[in-house]
Amino acid sequence: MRSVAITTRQSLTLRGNIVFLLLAIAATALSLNGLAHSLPPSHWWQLLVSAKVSAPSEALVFYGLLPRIVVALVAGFALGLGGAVFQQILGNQLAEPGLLGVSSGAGLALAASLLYAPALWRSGPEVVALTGAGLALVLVLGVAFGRGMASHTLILAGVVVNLYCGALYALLVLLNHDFLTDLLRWQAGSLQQSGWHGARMLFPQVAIVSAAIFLMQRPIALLSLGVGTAKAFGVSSATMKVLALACASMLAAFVTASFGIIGFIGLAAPALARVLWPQTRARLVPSAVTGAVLLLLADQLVRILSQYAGDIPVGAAAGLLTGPLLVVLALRHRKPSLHYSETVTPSLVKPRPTARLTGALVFLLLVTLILAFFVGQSQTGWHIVMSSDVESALTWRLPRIVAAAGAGACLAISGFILQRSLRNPLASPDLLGIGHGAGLGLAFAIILLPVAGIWSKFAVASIGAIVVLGVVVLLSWRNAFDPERTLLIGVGLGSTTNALLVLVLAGGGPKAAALLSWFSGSTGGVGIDEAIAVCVVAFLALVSGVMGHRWLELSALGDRLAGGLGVLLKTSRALALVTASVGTAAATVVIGPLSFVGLMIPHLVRIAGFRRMADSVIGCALFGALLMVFSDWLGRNIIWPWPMSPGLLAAFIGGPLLLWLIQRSERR
Amino acid sequence: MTDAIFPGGSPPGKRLHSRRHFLALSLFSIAGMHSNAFASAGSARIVAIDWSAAESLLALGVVPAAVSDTGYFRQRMPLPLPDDVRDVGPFWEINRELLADIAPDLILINSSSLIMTPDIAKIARVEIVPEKAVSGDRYDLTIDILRHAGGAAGLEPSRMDVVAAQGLERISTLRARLPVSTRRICVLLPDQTGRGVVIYGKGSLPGAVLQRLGLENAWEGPVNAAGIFQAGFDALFDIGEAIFVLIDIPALRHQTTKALETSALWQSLPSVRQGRTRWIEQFYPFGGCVSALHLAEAITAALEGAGR
Repeated sequence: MRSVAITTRQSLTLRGNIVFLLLAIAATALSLNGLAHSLPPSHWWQLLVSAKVSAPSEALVFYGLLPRIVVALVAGFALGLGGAVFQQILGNQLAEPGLLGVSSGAGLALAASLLYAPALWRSGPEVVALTGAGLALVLVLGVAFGRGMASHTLILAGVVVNLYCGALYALLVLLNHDFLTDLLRWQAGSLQQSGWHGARMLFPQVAIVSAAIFLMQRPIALLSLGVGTAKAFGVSSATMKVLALACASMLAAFVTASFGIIGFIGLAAPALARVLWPQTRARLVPSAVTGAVLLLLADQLVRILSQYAGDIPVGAAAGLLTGPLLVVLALRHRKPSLHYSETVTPSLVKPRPTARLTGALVFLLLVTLILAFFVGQSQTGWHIVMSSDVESALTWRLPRIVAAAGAGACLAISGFILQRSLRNPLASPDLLGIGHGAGLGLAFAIILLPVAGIWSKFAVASIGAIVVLGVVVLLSWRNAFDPERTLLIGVGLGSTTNALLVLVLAGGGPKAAALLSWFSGSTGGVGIDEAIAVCVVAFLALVSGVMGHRWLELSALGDRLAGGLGVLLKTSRALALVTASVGTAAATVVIGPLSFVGLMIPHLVRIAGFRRMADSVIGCALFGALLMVFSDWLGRNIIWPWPMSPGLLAAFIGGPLLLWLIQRSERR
Repeated sequence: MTDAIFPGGSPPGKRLHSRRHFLALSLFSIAGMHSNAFASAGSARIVAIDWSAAESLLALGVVPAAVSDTGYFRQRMPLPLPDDVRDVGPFWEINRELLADIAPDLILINSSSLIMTPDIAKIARVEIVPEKAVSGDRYDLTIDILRHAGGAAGLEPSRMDVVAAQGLERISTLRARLPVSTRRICVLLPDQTGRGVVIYGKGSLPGAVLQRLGLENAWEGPVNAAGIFQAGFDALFDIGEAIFVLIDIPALRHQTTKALETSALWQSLPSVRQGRTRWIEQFYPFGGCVSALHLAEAITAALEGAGR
């Protein structure tokens, strides 16, 4: 007699198998169809046996289509495997193999060598990219080095290095037009092949490193049960952790070095494998195989779509494909759970009064505001605003300063609330797809609407943001805002809107370039109305965050405990999510999607010594506003009359500071 | 291997640069015929955010007070920009404070730049540069832009007529010079990673110039709103007999040639195997009449270099 539990388990596994098979069949069919389109199937065997290429159609198959299929499978396998290792070891479903800085490190090294050492680039771009990836990885591990290589610290250091390299990269792109398209294409990632070089390069690399990872399978599984358990079984946790993460990072670095940044597969493949086979203990192989199939399918779709729409980044296509799938699965399946290894360790430092720190921040903010308003470059050099030219400063400068302060505060508070209520240090405001939603609205307006009706940038961006916001809240409502599912829904929606945005931009021609600056965060076009609006939202978010501080505090203890202590989980999470979303939407609409402030300020505030929730919310608002106002001032003047994005500068200034603080707190 | 890349024997370079100056001079001499009108138009201070408007003004002999991104303009555009023209920042984010400081009478801008900084209308009268010709033809658009810029600067329409007619006349001279044998052309910008190309199709400036030169654009596939298509080399297998006219961006030349040399797929394209590739100097694909003429000169010279 079978028990009900076993039946459910079997039916779940069966359902997972069916979905996986359907994906695999679709990928194979598309691949074969592509081959048959160029060369009749009767000629295939001949071509394979002789390996001699004479007609152009044979060349197309042999040098173009075949290696592309092979590369998609190998790269997908590598990314899926790397993603699974990261998510298991770090116990975080937002982790992906590029997390420790390798992809952005590789990108930065390539771009810099192209611009400043072309000879180096020519001698082997793959080597340059791998060196960059290696350096970034060493930096991250070096910063996080300390007691037991805590996951939290590793993640934090990885994110900071990623954002920092990303900011440098964006700067290089913005200041070097000739390279713009090529660099952007590299960043977008493509499996377009023109020979076997890429496949020959990638296959042995992935084979060796994957073998090493499979040898470590047992220790990795033990590590995911928690450091204590692993130790009891005789696994030296810090060494093992670093070794496994470094191997998984190498996988991502190999793929990135050859084909550019292929986003999303490393994140989606493990998540998909988890929802497809929720009962399976072994995570690595299912995730790797899912990655291979997923990337092949996405790439074949890209190949077909590109005949009509031009080249599309394969990562974006994967997002379009898996985004909705993730959302649907998150809604339907049982809880797709990771073994959480590390509970948040309660801080040993006693909550100390932070009144003096808050006071200092207020003072600094005031000084910076005054500096930003009165001092700046003009046609005659550095210039202090006098009563004679105060009108011009009021018209053009004040809106930027007010908007920077408001948006910085909004993003920092939103990030803080999201990270606390969803209990994930990687949760950032742009995760929920709201930023991309706003961008999508803007892109549609610029590219598709007729010239005659110049829409307000703010109106169209708001529409986009509100639509995505509504969908997030609506979908999460059904799950009572369960953190894991809300995150999955956020990731799914985010990747879908991102993919749509990429598609719209690809069709936009030169008009799309106007959006570039908005994407890196800019205050250059803000009017006073929008600036005041975002400040009002920031104030409301602040009030909401301070009033809900007890809920946030208790929510950190976990759902069961918090519920037992009388927290209305659904209501409190709904309130938190709506506050964070509205804050993000307002800030994004005004100055564009900024990752750094929302993601990093909450951590900065914690490391700086803020412990109590209410104090932290206020601290976030002040820190966010301060960083953005200062960055905006710097950005306005540093290469005058050109602008430099305050979003990038914030990462520039905040990145090293944060790395230093992380390192110091780790050593203590 | 170099022959496959530079079939003319030597890479393009000096030769094209000298032509660029000749071209600029010839257009300025057109404008010079009306030098008295030039002086009187100098009173209106114009800021041209849009480059096609800026080049049209220059062709008409009107020097704008400021242009967006002057550094890159000087490097990329086929005509010189006087030293005293100010830089107001990149087209995607104009420096509003500086613009207010310059206090122009008129701002010429394209709609996508205006949406990023809508309130520059507080500074001066804003005019949006034409973005589509009534006929839908991209070359007609360059003439529309010329007329619009001239009209905005307060010039007599006859002056724009003269410059437009001179341009068309020059193109018909070039057309007569072209060799008769090969008429199918594909204008391509290969990317330096050897992954693919940007193809200029119907509705793009190169597409329109090919048509005016009596040549056939070999790319009949899909294009985006700007007449451009980004694709892998595999897309080029379908276009049949054609001469590939490749755009040479000096800063990227080494990377691009190396990428093409090592690409098995590129090397097996019929046109490449038979050495039917030519290189031309870079041009501004979203430009106006001067850019169009410059491109026509470059294409003609590249095809004449074929020897037939």
